[in-house]
Amino acid sequence: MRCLPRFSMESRQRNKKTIRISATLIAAVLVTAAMSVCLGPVMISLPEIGPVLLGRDTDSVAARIILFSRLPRTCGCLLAGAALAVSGAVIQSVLENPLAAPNVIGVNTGAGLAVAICCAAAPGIFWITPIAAFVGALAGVLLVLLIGERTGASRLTLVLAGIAVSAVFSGAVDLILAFVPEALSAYSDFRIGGFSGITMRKVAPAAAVIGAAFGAVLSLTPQMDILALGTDTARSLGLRARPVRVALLAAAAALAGAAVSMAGLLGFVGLIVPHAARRVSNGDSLPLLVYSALGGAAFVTVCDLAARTVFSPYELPVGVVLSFLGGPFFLWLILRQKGGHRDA
Amino acid sequence: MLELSHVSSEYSGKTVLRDVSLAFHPGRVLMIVGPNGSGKSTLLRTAIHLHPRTGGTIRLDGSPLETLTPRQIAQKVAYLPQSRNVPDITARRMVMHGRFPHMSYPRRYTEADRQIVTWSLEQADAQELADRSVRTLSGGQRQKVYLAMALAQQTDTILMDEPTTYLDIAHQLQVIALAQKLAAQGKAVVLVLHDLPMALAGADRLAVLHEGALCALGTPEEIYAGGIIPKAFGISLNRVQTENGWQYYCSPLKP
Repeated sequence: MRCLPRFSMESRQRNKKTIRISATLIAAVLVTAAMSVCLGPVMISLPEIGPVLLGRDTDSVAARIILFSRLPRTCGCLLAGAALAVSGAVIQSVLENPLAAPNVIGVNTGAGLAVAICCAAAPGIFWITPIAAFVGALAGVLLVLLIGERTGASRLTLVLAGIAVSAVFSGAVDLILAFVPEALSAYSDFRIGGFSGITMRKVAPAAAVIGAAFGAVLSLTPQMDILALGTDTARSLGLRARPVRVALLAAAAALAGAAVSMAGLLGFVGLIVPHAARRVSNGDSLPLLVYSALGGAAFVTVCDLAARTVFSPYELPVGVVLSFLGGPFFLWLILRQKGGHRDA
Repeated sequence: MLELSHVSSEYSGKTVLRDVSLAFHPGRVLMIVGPNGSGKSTLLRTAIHLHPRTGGTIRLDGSPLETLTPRQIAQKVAYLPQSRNVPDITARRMVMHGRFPHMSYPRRYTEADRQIVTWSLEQADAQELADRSVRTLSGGQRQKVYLAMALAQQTDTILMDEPTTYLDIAHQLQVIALAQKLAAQGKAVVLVLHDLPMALAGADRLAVLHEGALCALGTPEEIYAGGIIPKAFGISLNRVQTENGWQYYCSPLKP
């Protein structure tokens, strides 16, 4: 009983910190979202947004820009950023590998192969690309999980299976592009990634998948915390480690697959954001996932904003901006680990 | 009570446990000793279904182990594994995870859970570490926190694989004293130990494993008298009478 006051004090302090960080990140998301809607070749003022969102203004130039260009783009950025970051956080936690990301378990290459096949076999049918990307991402991960499952689904097996499957898929993409060079242009847009020309018809189905998968991951956070103690300890605490691991990876694949289906192959978001979130979270999965979602949403929105405004009227693919930020971060991460200052 | 009957087990086709029959009795400290690779850790892992067995039966309170869910097993048997992860959470948070098998949806800790966690930290002499990150603790301090987590499971049986690793001698003796205290409370306490003199001095019963087989089971007195340890380990085992009872010591076999 002696320690009860300390318990509640520690709990209160942790809650306060969580609320403070969450509030900061929510503010960052709101500010970046507002900037994303307002800034561009045609500047839109904040007061103009309200009536459009409430449906009172649908005909003005500003309303058309917001409804058909800026809003879908902003929603796409927010959703894709949140989904990729949460996916990365889950994959890193489940595989206990700080360098793991959606591409490690076959998401990107699975999506890439499916899109390359579509670009070659059905050129000009653009609506099929997001569906192919989603199906390909899920198929890639399922194949990796299947291989891992047959060999005991150890964390290392899954990572190695992911690398092997990705290598085969990448080879298949190169083969397709070698035989059908006309597909290269369409595939290249997908590979670099971006939100140019995104519509609500593309965003809506991805949003539904992302919402469902995020809910599934959130409901599994107590299990994620137990899994972090190691497989033997987790199992000795009564957790069915293997099904939980597979369920979490499947949800992570659905998140990344949905993001890739509307934004193409955005690199590094799933790597950078969870690492940053991990530094300010208390080690529990719930704050990590919430911070990752909010941080990922704000980060991708800022990168997209930079991509379309810095060299305006020219627009850079957002994947390029992400890579320029992500590459150095990745190097810093490796060098820092090599220095052995701290476990990442 | 956990009872193993003619249990066999293997790793990649190589037999690691052969025909082991053993019961973990409430109120007793059972120490399992044996040379490296004799199957001590595998015995504990097999006993709670963490490692598959290739033969024999295991019963927990009369029920075949395979009819119980992992959660039901975890509510009755706590296991402290040999190798453990070190997550970046506070020691108290870590010990709270010991309550996981007892929590149902939506998995919120009750006041009773918190009191059990506080008791467990005190029992493991880890209350001062409660608010520190497990990653900042020394090996011995982490060991205490893991021990507290196993205690927080509040089970009838506690299995500990090398619980004295990383601990200095004073803390090793504390762990043995804690094991005896838990046994006095009616729990079945099973420890895998490498330190033979400590095992002989602290156990109610001793199980000696050699090449996967249980080659002796009895009180330390019986095991000593049977002369099985010198054969299994290839050492000389002796003892002296002290005011605290028999104290055992090992020395190399004379050529």
